[in-house]
Amino acid sequence: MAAAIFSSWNLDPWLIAGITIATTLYLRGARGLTGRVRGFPRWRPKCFLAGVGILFLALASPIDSLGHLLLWIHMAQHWLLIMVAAPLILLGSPGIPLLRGLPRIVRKQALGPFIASPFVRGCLNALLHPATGWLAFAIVNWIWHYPRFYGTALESPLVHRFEHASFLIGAMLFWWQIIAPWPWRARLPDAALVVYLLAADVQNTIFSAIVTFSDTVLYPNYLATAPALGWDALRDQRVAGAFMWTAGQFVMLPVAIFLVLRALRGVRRSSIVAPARPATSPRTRERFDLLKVAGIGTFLRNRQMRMLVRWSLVLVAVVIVIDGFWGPSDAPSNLAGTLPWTHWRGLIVIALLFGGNFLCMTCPLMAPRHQMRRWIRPRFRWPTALRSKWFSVVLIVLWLVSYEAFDLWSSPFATAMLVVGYFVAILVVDGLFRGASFCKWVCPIGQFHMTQSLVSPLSVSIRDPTVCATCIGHECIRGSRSIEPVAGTISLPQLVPGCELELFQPVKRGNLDCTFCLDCVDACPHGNVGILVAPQSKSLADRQWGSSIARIGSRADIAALLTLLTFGAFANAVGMTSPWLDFVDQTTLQFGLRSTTIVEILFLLVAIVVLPSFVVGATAWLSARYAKSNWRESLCRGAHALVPIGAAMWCVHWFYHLATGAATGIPVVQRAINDAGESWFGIANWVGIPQWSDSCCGPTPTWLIPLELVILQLGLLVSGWMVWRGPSDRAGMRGVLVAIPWWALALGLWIAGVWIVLQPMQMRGSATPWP
Amino acid sequence: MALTRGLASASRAILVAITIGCGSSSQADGGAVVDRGRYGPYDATVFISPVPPRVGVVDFSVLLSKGGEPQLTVPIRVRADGPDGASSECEMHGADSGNRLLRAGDLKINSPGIWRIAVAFGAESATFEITVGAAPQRWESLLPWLGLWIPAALLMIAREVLANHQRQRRSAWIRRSDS
Repeated sequence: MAAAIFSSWNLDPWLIAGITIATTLYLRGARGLTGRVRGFPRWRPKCFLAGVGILFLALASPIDSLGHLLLWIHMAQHWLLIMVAAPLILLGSPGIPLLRGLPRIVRKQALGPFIASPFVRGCLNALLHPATGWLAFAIVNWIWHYPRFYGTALESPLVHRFEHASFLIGAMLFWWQIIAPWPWRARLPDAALVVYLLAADVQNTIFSAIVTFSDTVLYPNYLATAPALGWDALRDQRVAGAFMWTAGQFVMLPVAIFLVLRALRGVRRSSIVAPARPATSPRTRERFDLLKVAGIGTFLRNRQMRMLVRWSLVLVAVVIVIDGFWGPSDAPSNLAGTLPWTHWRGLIVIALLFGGNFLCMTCPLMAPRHQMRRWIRPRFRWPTALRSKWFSVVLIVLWLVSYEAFDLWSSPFATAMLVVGYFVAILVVDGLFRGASFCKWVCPIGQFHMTQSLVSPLSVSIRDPTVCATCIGHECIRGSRSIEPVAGTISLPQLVPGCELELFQPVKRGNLDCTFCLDCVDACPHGNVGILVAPQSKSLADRQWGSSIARIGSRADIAALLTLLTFGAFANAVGMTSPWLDFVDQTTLQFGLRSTTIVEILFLLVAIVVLPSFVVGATAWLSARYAKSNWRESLCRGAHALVPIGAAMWCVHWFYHLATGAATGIPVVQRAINDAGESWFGIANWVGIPQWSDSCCGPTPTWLIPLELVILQLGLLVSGWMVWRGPSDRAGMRGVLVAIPWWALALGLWIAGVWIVLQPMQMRGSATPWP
Repeated sequence: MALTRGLASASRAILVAITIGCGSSSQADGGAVVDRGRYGPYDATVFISPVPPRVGVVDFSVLLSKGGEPQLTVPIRVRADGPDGASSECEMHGADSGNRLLRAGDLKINSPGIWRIAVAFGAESATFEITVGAAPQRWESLLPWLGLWIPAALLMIAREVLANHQRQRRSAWIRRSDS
């Protein structure tokens, strides 16, 4: 039995995540304060960690599990929350460290107006009033111990969590007055605090006495469970009452004595509520720069290492092409049918959402191109007539249509042809035209990466603008002569190219057109270019001129590209839902067609060309009427604002494939290695066990749909925010009217996304049973 | 300083591990008591979750004791017979329960109505009935996840109103000082 009890841990992921996030933020914020600021000595973080540890013990250890069976253990749990965890956390003075631990943009942009608001400060002031603290403590105690509410909490995990949260918050409000965590100061003198504390002790005594001396079982839930553990329910209740009584006083009385002694010593304290000013200014932190992170930064800065990654991916591409041409034609058993469509696409969206355009950085096409450029000097400049995104728009339309209509994902041969075609295309285009013409004007995948990285948190940008202001060489765009000799050659200076995509760092805005090649990092003689955290929405919303993209409000081609990819996300995802497939089949039958291809092509052209042109055009027209501005500018800026909701849909769709199909990579690789006559990676087992080896997709994990809904909502919120900052210019009520059409469009797209997520999915071309 | 930095890194690593590793699983920590009584030498208390039970997966937990000692090795099976003749059965294990003093198992209940439940332990068995409600719509069960953006949007609006107010006050103050 003891073993069963000690193994009864309730490792609720939400609890662990909450505690870990709070601890991370606290420690991050405390880093510059500990020992540097008067009022924040080294024992404070220790108290906070101890408090958090007790909190975890109370809510996750066997105490929580046994609290469902025995009342006295449940009361011990409440005592730990109220009398131990809450005061210890407050002794850690969590307010300032938690704020400092937040990313600067959240602290300043999101929380700043709240912190500075007199209204919010007034509310906080009222919340931290001694009367509020005392009443919160007592009311929470009495309400939750009322048998009806107590029983409800025992039966519902959600209510039980809420009960514990309210105990903790009520206790923190109560102890706040006594502990007065730095930088706040106590409102009441010590003598008054003694009364405050003893009054709370009296109510605790009354309540404990009622529980202890009751002749009936107040909480009927324990009538069933206490006897099973050898306890009489009434005895259990009396022990619980006595525990609350004595354990409460065990904490409150020593604190009261301490306060009395301090009052007698005559230590006077101010009743000012304003925060005390730190004796020394805390250390300010620099912006996060990935290139300064030990290990990964060194790796990324090394040109040879980046090229090595690209050549490694060339090798992978070659293997995929070989398997695509000569391997099995069944997509789920072929490397060309799984790795590009399941794994690579899933990794793309993760990299874009949490990092930046690292996929272009590691693009395997760049390696042979680089080699070719050593032998062939391109002679031509990319034609002026094609120096816009319109050519890419056409290619992406063709891409999306052919993907859907010709089921590219289900044909390893077609996938292999596509990969070969890509290599040929870049060698031809960049063999003829100077600069990175293929990346900037042609590559549909590159356009996808560059546009979706508009929502990425990281951006290649300058560290210090003053350095650029005094720079006369402009090596980041012109290139420079490296002073380092190339290994194995005569020690002549090597040419380090500048940005081949014509982005001049000091005036570069956002990630658009940036392939993260890091040539600018290599070329800058001042070491002033890094991969920095940069709010993309800010760079997109402003009206300033940006290098190579000019003014956002004037680029209809970029707006068309963004709109196409936003609507393309939804059209591409809806293509795998059962209702849509039924509709295609019925329509095909109705018109007596032989295959579904024509219906699919027509649908896609409507969904990604006709519908967006009409809907976005009408939205921009409506918005421009209120703004009394240019329709074209409204359209261009509004299209940018829709990128986050589109990116969220791409993420949801491709991450779904990765989450349900990641494990299929193993048997497919095993099969490819087995076909080569080797078995060092194991023997592919296609039938039966393991289950995931018999098709592309495992069952949908229960956490996946909620996660997808959260991602879609984040997309909606960021789009809404960008509309407010972009087309509406935050211009009061008029700005709201200007924003409403765009908000409505974003909401409509979100509803479409939710509908898609809730539909049953069909993995066409991948669900073929294995031989 | 080094300690706090190390702890911060460790916390981040834990957070990543949780994010990757957390999946939903039946906690089987009780729920509502639907039956309790003495059956032969055993005292048995049966809990179900969710409360009230609805079509889908219903979590059953049993606290079995003999003379005040929880019985952790007696095999326990639970069987549910539905109104349309459907039935579902499973063995209950301590390992499926968050609280290892309980034995838990999930039954798939596929139609609404009155279901007859039989819990067998050793040679004894407890039988009782539960009323199962209709399954929630898919969007209904995901409703808490669907509405998260509304409070977030309200907070963003509040932030914008406050920031606008502060900007106006600042401009007014600058105008006053200029004049």
